[in-house]
Amino acid sequence: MPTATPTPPRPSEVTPEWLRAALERDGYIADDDTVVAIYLALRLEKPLLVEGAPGVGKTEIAKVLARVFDTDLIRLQCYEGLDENKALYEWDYQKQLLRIQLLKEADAPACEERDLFSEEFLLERPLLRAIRAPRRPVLLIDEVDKTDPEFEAFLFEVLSDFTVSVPELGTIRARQVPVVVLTSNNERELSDGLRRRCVYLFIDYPSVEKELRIVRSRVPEASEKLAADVARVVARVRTLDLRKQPSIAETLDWTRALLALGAERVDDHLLSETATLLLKNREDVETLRRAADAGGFVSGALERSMGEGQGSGRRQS
Amino acid sequence: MTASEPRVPRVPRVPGVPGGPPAPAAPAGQPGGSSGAPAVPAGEPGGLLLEENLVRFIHVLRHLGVPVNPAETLDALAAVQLVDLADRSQVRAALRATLVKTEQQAPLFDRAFDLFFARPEERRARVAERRLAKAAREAALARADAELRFQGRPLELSEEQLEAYARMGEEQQARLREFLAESSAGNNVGAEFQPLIEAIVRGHLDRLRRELLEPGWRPPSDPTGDEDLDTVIEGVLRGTPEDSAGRGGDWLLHLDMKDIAETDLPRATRLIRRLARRLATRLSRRYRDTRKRHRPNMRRTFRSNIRYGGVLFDLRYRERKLTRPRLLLISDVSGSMARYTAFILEFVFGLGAAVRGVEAFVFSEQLERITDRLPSAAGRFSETAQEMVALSRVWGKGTDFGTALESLLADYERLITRDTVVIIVSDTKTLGADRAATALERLRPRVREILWLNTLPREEWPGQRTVALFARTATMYECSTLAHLERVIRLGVGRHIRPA
Repeated sequence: MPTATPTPPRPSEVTPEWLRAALERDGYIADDDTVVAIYLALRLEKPLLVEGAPGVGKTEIAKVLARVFDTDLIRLQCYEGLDENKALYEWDYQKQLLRIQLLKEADAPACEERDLFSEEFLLERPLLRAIRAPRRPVLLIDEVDKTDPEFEAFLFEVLSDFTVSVPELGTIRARQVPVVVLTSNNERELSDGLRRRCVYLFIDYPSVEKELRIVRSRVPEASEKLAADVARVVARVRTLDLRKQPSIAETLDWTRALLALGAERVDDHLLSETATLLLKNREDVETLRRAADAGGFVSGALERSMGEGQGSGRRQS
Repeated sequence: MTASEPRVPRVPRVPGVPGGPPAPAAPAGQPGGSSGAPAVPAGEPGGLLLEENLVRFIHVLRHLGVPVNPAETLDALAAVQLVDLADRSQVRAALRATLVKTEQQAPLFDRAFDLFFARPEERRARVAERRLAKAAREAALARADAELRFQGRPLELSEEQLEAYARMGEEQQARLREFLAESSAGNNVGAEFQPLIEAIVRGHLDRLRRELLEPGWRPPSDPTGDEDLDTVIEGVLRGTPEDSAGRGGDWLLHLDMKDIAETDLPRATRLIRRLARRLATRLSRRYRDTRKRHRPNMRRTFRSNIRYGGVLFDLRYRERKLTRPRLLLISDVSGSMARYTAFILEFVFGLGAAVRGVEAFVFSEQLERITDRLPSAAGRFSETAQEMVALSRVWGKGTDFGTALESLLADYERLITRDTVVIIVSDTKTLGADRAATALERLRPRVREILWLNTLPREEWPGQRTVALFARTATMYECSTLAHLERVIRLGVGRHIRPA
C-alpha cells in the first residue's frame, strides 16, 4: 500500500487505508465513519451528502479531496433563488449583442443564428464545467438545503446521469462522473430521492481525542498540555444548554487567543474572560460565564475522561 | 377462582414503518428463524450468508422506522463488499453510510447493529431471555384477568389495562379487588351494572397506566413474527431513550400539549424550535417558488442602457417583495390554558423574520400586554413561562374574553392594522360569550384575519355553544397538539405571506 505517491491513484481505485493517510497528510483528521463514507462515495461513484452543525468541517472534505487527488475543485454555492442559469449554463447575451452590432457595422454577410449560439457564447456554470472537465474533478455543492425544492429536483436529475442537454448544442455527457460532495445544514428537509441517491455522512462535534489531534495539527505552537485542556474544556462547554455550540473553528480561534495571552493552562477566570471567542451569542456567553464564575467548571472538565463529550451535539435540535 | 383461559387480546398494531414492502428475499414470517445462524459478517465469505444477513438486518431497520429502499439495499451490499469484512467498525460505517440517511436515525441504527451483529451465543441468550419475559408477562396478564372479575365474569379490559393492574402495588391491587367484590355482592346489583363497573375500572387503570408506564408509543409485541428479529427490535426500542433515535421526540407531536410531562418540557421546547425554524424557512422562501424572474423592469432598463446608445444591453428585472403579516396573539391563560399558551408563544416567536412582528397579549379576566416581557429571540421556554406566571397579574384566573377584547379595541388601537393576523388561543369557554362575540365582530373588519386556535378537541365542539358562535367571525382550528399547531400556522399564517 503506497503511503506517499507522487501521482495519487484514481479516485475509484483507492483503499480506506490510503485515503485515511492521505487525508491526514493534508491535515484533515478523520474518524472511521468519515473515511469509510468518503471511500464508498469514491468507489461507488455516488454523491456524498455531508450533514452536521456549522463549522465541523463539511466543506473542508471537498477541498481536501481536491488536493489529495490533485484535481480541480468546482464549487456551486447554493442560495435561495439559485436557478439553472446560474448553476448550469447561460448564453452570454451581452457578447451576442456586440457581435450582432459589429457584424452590422462591418456589413458582413448575414449572421446566422447558429453562430450566435455556439461555444463562443456559452457561459459555463459550475455544473456544466464539472460535466465537461477533462479530468475527474471534485464538485462541491455547498449548502444544498438553501435551494428551492424545484432546483433540488433539477439537481437530482443532473446527479443521476450527469448528462445535460443544451438545445442549441445537443446533449453533453460527462466523460467521467465527478466526485460530488453535497453539504447541508439541514435548514430544510432534503427530498428523500436526493438522500437515497447519496452516501450519507453525519459529522458530529469531535470527541475530545479527535479535537485534541485537530488542535495539535492546526495550532502546533500550542503545548500538549494547553491543547489537551482546550479540547476537554470545549467538550464540556458543548454540554451546556446553548443556542449554538462552539465549532472546531471556534476552538482553534480560542486556542490561538489563549496562546496570544501567554496562557499555559486554562482556568475558570480565563475561560470567563475569553468566552466571546468560543460563543457568538450574547445569551450563550452569559450562560457560559455563569457556569465558569460558579467555579469548578474547568477542573470538572479536566477530570472527565478522554472520549467523553462525543455526540454531545447530537442532542441539539 | 381459576382462569377459564388466559385471555390475552392481541392488539394488531403496526409500527410506523413508512412505505416499502418487506424485502423480497425476506418475507415477514420467514421460517427457520435461524436463531443459531451466526450473523456476524466478520470473517465470513461474501456468499449468500452475507446477503441474507444484510436483508434480515434491513428488515429490522424497516421495522424500527428507518426507510430503506431496494436501491439502497443494493448499495449497502456493494458497500460491505468494498470494505474489510473483518473490521467491524468499517462494516458498521459502510452500512450506516448507505442505509441511514438522516442524523436522527443514527442512534437507532447503532443499537440495531450492535444487537444484530452480536456473537451468536449472545443473541441466543437474548432470545431465551425474551421468551422468559414474555411468558412471565403473559402469566401476569392472565392472573390479572382472573383476579378482576365482576360477579364471576371477566371484565372487558385491554392488554395495557391488565398490565397496569399487574404492575401496580400489592395494596392497590387488593383495593381494586375489594371494590369489585363489594360491588358484585351489592344489593340489587345485577349484571346490567357490568358496563358501569367496567368503565370505573378502566378509568382507574388508564390513569395508573399513564403514571406507571412511559407515555406515548409502545412497541407492538411481535413486529415481524421472527423471534430472532423481534428480539433485536425490542432490544433496540427498549434501550433507546425517547429523545434520540428515529422517534426524535416526534411522538410529542401528537400528544395533547397539556399532557406533556414536566420532564419532557426541554424535549418539547427543542421540538418546537425545530418546527418553528423549519416553518419560518419554508414560509419566507415561499414567494421564490412563484416568482417570475423574467419580468423586465422596462423603465429601469431603458434608463440604464442610455449609455449604450439605447441598445438593450443590460437588462433590469423587477424585484418581487414579500408582504409579511403582523401577528397579534391573544391567549387565554386561565387555569389549564397556561400550558397551551406557553407552547404557542414559543412557537410563534420562533417564526422570527418570517413575520413582520409579534404582539402578545394574555387574558383571563383582564387583558395584559406581554410583548415586552418576551425575549426578542424567543427565550428559553421554561424560564419564559415561569417568569410570565410570576409577573402576570392575570395568569390563572377566570375567563372573560369579552372584556379582554374590548380593552384591546379601546387601548391598543394602533396595533390593529389591516395587515394584522389576530391569533386567539382559547377553548372558547368564557363568561359573557355574546358580548365577546360582538367585540370580535367589531374587530374583524379591521384586521386581515382572525385565527382561532381552539384547544378543545374537535369531538367536543358540537357540545360547546360558543364554538359555533365565535366560528362565525373567526377561522376556527383545532389546536391541542404540536402537530396541529404547526399546521395551523403553516396554513393560517402562511397564506398571508405572499408577493405584493
